[in-house]
Amino acid sequence: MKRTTTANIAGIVFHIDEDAYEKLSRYIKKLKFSFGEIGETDETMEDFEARIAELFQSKLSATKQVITIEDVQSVIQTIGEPEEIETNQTKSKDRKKGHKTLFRDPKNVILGGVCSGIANYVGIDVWVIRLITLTFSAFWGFGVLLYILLWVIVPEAKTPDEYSQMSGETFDKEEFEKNIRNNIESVKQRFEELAKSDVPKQATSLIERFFSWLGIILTAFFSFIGAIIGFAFLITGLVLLVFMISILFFDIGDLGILSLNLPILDTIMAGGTTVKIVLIALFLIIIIPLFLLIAALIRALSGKKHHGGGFVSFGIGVWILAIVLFTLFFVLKSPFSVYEGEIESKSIIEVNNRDSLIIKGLKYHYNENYDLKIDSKHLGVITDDNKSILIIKPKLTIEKSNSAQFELKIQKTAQNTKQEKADENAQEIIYNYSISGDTLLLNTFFESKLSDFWQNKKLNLTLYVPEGKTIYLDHSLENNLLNINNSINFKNTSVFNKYIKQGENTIE
Amino acid sequence: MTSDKTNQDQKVDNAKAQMRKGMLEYCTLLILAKNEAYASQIIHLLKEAELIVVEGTLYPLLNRLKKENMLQYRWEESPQGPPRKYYEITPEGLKFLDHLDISWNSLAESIEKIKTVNPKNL
Repeated sequence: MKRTTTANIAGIVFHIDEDAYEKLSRYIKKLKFSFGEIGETDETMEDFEARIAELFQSKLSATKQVITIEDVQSVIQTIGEPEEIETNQTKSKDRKKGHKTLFRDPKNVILGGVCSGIANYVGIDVWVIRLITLTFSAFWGFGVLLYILLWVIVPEAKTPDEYSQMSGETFDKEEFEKNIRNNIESVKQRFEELAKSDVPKQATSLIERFFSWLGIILTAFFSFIGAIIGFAFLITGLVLLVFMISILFFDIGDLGILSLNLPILDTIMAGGTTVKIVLIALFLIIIIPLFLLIAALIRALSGKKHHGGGFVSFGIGVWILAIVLFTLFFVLKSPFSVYEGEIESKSIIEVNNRDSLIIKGLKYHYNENYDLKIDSKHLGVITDDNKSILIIKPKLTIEKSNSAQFELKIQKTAQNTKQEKADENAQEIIYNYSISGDTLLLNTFFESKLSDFWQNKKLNLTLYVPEGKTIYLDHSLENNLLNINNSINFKNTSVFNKYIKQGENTIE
Repeated sequence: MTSDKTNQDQKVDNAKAQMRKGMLEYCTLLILAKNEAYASQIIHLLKEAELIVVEGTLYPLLNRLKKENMLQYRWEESPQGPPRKYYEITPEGLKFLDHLDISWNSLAESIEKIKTVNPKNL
């Protein structure tokens, strides 16, 4: 016994088995995606349906009154799957010859033909790709997710046209949408098949629910039922993008919950090589999808179908690279050990006037031919026609002295892959200061080769101020990073061009 | 891995599909220029001539030609099943068909010329 339902096809009522109905309605949906027209009365679809009705009628007789799944199967065979239907409409003309498109290869399948498709596309043996996928899956389960994603997104090669192209990209929203629906259907089917064999029932419904949920979201998303939703996304995306870029360069200050006081760029510059890579990678990981999403939204909203294939693949390439770097350096804690070399010296500063010390900064004497390319609190880069010099700025910290004298500690650090080399690099830092009368003249820079930037040379100056003595910080130090320990919050008021006194615990 | 043979088959299929695409419009108009017909009749003829593989190919084509005013249709009740659309060619369609005839003839000539060319004259 089987349950049947009724279907009205081209004005004629048919009794049809439920499974047959499901199959037929899927087929009609697929045809609609391929040939349906939006808006006006859809004559093509009416014709298709009329023909389906005609064929069904020929299959019914006095003894056979219900349309079965075999009947539907045979009708589909007669009329043809949308992919088999040959049209010479624009779609095929649009595709440039020799321009490769990524398709899944249904002739070389283990699960969904994703690997073989990629293999065709890049021209490597399938097994290499399969091995890579397996490796990825084994380590982070990441491969599995990527595989399913590609299975859903990448269309299957069906027509001879597509086969020859398997190895031009046209961004066609409708086609893309159609593909996604078809693919979700086939992923679902495959899972259903798998589920029928073994997997417990509850899981099936979960997987099914997941995919129908995914389907709904993707469809809703890509069909842009509300251009408004798209627009809202676009605005949000743009704001996020601007925000991301601005935290790169500027001090955002207090934003309520997000009190971001550190400009990321400065943090990047100040951090070790690893920190730099992690932060830059993280930044790229967030910003690239955002950027691509915005580009896609703009494209979809403007209704233009030109394709930014190269741009998109480039973006995706960089993104993957960023993920790899992030994983290597953050998740796996850097495969390359980095050693830090450090040299420290402390000297007493003799001051004539015993109670106060004036601290001035000696600026780098820029030659007129030089061009200051970068200038931050950590470093600057100057270039002329044939060379670039990295100007690294020391960080000045003011601390309370334990003795009765002003003292200056100079700490030079550098990083390298070997300890000896790191020490050597630290030693290479040449730093000068001078004392005349009651003035301490600090160089606000030291030079380094631009090509040595990765050694992350740093100079920390610590000035120890005895209790009860005052210092005067000249504004010439304004461009250096200043750190005053045990201080009242100086963030809001400038400490420059003022006498400040070291108290018992605080400086004022 | 695909073997050479299936590769070859694929290429032939592909070339055939390309040729058919161009021909189908012409042949449909040729059929309708002789007499009005409904979709299934056209399909039957085209299938016999091995010009289409699946029926579905015809419906989008008929609709496109109708939109371009090459064809028009009238409804007729069917003894069984839904009412049928009888297509007939319009004067515009006939004019278009004349052009296609000329193009076809010159095309056939060109191919014949190339096929019979004397290699020594190359």
